[in-house]
Amino acid sequence: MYPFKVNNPTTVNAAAQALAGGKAAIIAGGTEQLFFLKAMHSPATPPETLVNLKSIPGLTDIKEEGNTLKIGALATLTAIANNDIIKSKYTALAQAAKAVASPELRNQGTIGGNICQRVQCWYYKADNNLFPCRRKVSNGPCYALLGDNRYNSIFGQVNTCYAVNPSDTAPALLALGAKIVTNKKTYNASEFWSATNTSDIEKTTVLALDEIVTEIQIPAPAAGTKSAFKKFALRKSFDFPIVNAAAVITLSGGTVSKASIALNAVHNLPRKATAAEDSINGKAINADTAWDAGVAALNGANAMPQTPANTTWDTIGNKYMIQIAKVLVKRAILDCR
Amino acid sequence: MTEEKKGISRREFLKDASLIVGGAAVGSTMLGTVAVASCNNNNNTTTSVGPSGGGRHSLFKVNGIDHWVEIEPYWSLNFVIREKLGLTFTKMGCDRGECGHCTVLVNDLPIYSCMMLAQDAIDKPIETAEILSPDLTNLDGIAKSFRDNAAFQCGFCTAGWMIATKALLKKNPSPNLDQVREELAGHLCICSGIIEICQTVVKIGQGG
Ligand SMILES: Cc1cc2nc3c(=O)[nH]c(=O)nc-3n(C[C@H](O)[C@H](O)[C@H](O)COP(=O)(O)OP(=O)(O)OC[C@H]3O[C@@H](n4cnc5c(N)ncnc54)[C@H](O)[C@@H]3O)c2cc1C
Ligand code: FES
Ligand code: FES
Repeated sequence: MYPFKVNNPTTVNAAAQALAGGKAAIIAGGTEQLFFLKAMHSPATPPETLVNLKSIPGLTDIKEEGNTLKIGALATLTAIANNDIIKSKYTALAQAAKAVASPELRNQGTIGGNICQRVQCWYYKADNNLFPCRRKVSNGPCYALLGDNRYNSIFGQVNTCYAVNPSDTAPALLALGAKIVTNKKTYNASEFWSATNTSDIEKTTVLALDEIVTEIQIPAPAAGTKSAFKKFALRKSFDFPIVNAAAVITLSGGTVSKASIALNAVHNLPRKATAAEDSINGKAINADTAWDAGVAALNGANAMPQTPANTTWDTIGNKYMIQIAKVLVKRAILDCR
Repeated sequence: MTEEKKGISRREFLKDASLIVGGAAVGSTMLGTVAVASCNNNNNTTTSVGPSGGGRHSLFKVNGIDHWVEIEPYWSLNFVIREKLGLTFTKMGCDRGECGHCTVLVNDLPIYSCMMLAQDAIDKPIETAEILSPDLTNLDGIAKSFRDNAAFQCGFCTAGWMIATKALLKKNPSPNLDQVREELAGHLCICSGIIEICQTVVKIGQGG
């Protein structure tokens, strides 16, 4: 690694001040940040200083207060996956945390880092800026359009970028109606992820450069609510998602009175599947209604164009992701029975 | 045998090593010397890389032994363990959090030392695979079973599997195969069989 400095603040304010100059970046668990710093994936000057959030006390607590579950941004994915309250009442989140990477990375990685992580696209992540893509230089191409796009967006581009947001916890938080608290304000999960943050093209969120996620709050689910998370990856044991999905469903009298469904790794941003929610609402859950909702969730999805340039490769395109996503939505819904 | 007896004091060693600042290139012969010393250092005496205590030196408590090391903020824990303390059982594989070869225990939890800054492990109990085999005639049960069941081929991944196995068995003394596969999912073996390794861990849990 190159010689960066590390700042170990003891308050969120001090951390924000250290970030304000723009030459610093946050490190929490470091599993994503160090990956990118080691890769030197970007032509931009890497940060001079890493601001270590782990030195700030009190950011790892997980507690239920009144009708709200509060999770400190520095809580590890292991702590979330093993928490009894989360397992029983916010099941989709526990399952999502458990599905991230490997046990070691879950011991190190935090939920704050998980929801703020950068996009997934192997051209973008390649070492030494091997592919100076659209996301890094203004006139760069999208290499996924020209080459291997089997893990890229099935919901089109944002700013000509077909990368996907790979966070496993994001769809669970989106479906559970979480709020994300920073040192500046509180966001609904639905407004937290953004593809057009001009302050830093690397960012996948609306956060300003000196903005720090401090807590995640989730409202207690209504009586009769169940939730589930499903993930498809190349290796079941340890891999980024190819597609993931979360469903949170309230049943009353045998039919769905409220449904909240989200997908990720299918687009630049985590995606709320409102058409799927409408489809299942008011119905009893069975294989047919769940499948119909899966089909509705993928309304408007399209495989990426296969250009002559990439048909000479052994490419398979990303059409299969549409089918997988439908099935994951179906299975997540069926688990909420 | 201590380094002093070989005619190089730790202090001198440190002086030489620290000349190469940022040192991805610390000489391997010298490290070999330290590795032997640390590895055999079975009693709980304090070894130090550099003058002990205070100043710019930080405390690394590895396998119950205190080491004082002057670190740079951008060094990974893996770099300190291998290149500064000479504990080379822990390997560097991918350097990207993908293979598990660099696994060590920090506060009893398995973590990837390539993905942790050394500064984050200061003062915390760290365990490396050396603790399982202080010397080759004195293997711990885990290391012995890995050997007896030939749960390795080239051995490059083995230290990572073994130290993670230690943490797993502490949590769950007799895991079944599914539990082993789930808990050790963060480890790759490129040349032998992952399933043989997992079966060995099950066997260890069953007492042999
Ligand atoms: C081999 C490998 C496999 C992986 N597999 C998966 C996977 O399957 N699913 C998945 O979701 N992720 C995966 N990841 C990504 C990553 O490990 C996890 O997302 C992890 O949760 C990131 O958390 P962290 O604390 O390590 O983040 P860090 O690396 O510390 O930070 C990640 C990013 O978020 C920012 N950040 C961190 N905390 C905050 C905060 N509180 N406020 C504002 N910004 C913040 C940092 O600036 C940085 O850009 C994988 C990573 C690796 C290396
Ligand atoms: S070297 Fe650390 S996980 Fe591969
Ligand atoms: S024994 Fe060779 S990599 Fe596992």
